[in-house]
Amino acid sequence: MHLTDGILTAPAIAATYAGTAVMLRWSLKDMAEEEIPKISLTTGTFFAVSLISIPIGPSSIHLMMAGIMGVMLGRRATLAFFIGLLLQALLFQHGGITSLGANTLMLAIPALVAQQVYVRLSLAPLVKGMMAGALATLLTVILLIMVLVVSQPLFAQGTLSVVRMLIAGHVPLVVIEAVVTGFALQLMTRAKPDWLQEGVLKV
Amino acid sequence: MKKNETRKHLLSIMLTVACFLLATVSVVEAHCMEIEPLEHQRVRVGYDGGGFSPQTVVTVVDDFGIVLEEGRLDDDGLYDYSHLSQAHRILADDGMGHRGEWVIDTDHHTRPKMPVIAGVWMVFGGTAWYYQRKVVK
Repeated sequence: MHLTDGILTAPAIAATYAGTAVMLRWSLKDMAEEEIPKISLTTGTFFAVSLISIPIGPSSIHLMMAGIMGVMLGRRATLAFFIGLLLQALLFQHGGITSLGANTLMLAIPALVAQQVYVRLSLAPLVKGMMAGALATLLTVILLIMVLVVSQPLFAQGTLSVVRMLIAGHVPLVVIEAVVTGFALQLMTRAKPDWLQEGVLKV
Repeated sequence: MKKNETRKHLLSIMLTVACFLLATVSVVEAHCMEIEPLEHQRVRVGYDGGGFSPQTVVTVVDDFGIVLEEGRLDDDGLYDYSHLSQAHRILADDGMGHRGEWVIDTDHHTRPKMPVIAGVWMVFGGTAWYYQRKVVK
């Protein structure tokens, strides 16, 4: 899912870094000491979990956690994604430095949308958690497709185009993310409700 | 004032962690997409978590960066470059944002992932624990 170096054009790199800088500034604004344990733990978990690949068919996928991160952290999720992705790029060449801005935005924007959906819906935590997880993953894939098509329109051409492959390849991930996010948020609602993002971190 | 201090603490911890990790980085070829050399001048091109994409395009270049050949993987995810005597570097691109590269005849070694992942997670866990204790006090 992470874009590597060499995919984006120079204007795209500049634009995505600028967007990430704005979101990072907003993410850091008014941060309280009480929030650090949660941000730190979720950043570490995102770093670890999204590096573990699951073989699906001829390819492999990995969890993105955009939904659960968004619900737990709200706008602080941008900071967590940025740090996690930076470390992944430096330590494992998973992603890239020039694509760090784009990769951060591709997760941070869906995370914020997922958090808003979760907070506004009056459903059981399991159901709205599943919806948030699925929606965040779908949005991330859509943003990835947009970035690829804008970079090189060739990606969208042909019956076996990259766009079609991406959509088909990520259907299992949408289902897995929905289930994981739903059950995790249900568990958290029972065990640690103060860690859910309905208090001080509202957007 | 407290918020500024918090931000400074957070940034200093993150920077310390990043510096520590950067200091331990060595040259690795454990890309998300991996090129593994095999016998008889063949390579296996796949993802580090297993599997490969049949859409992957392999490019073989010489010392000067001139493209000698471009082609697709076979049904087993392998690519044979034995007929290219000038081959120097192999690049692989699945067209979905994943790329890999291997310079022929250099050591291929993969950094063990789990110890690094566990180490990084423990640093974040330690940060959380430290601040949790501080907040409780």
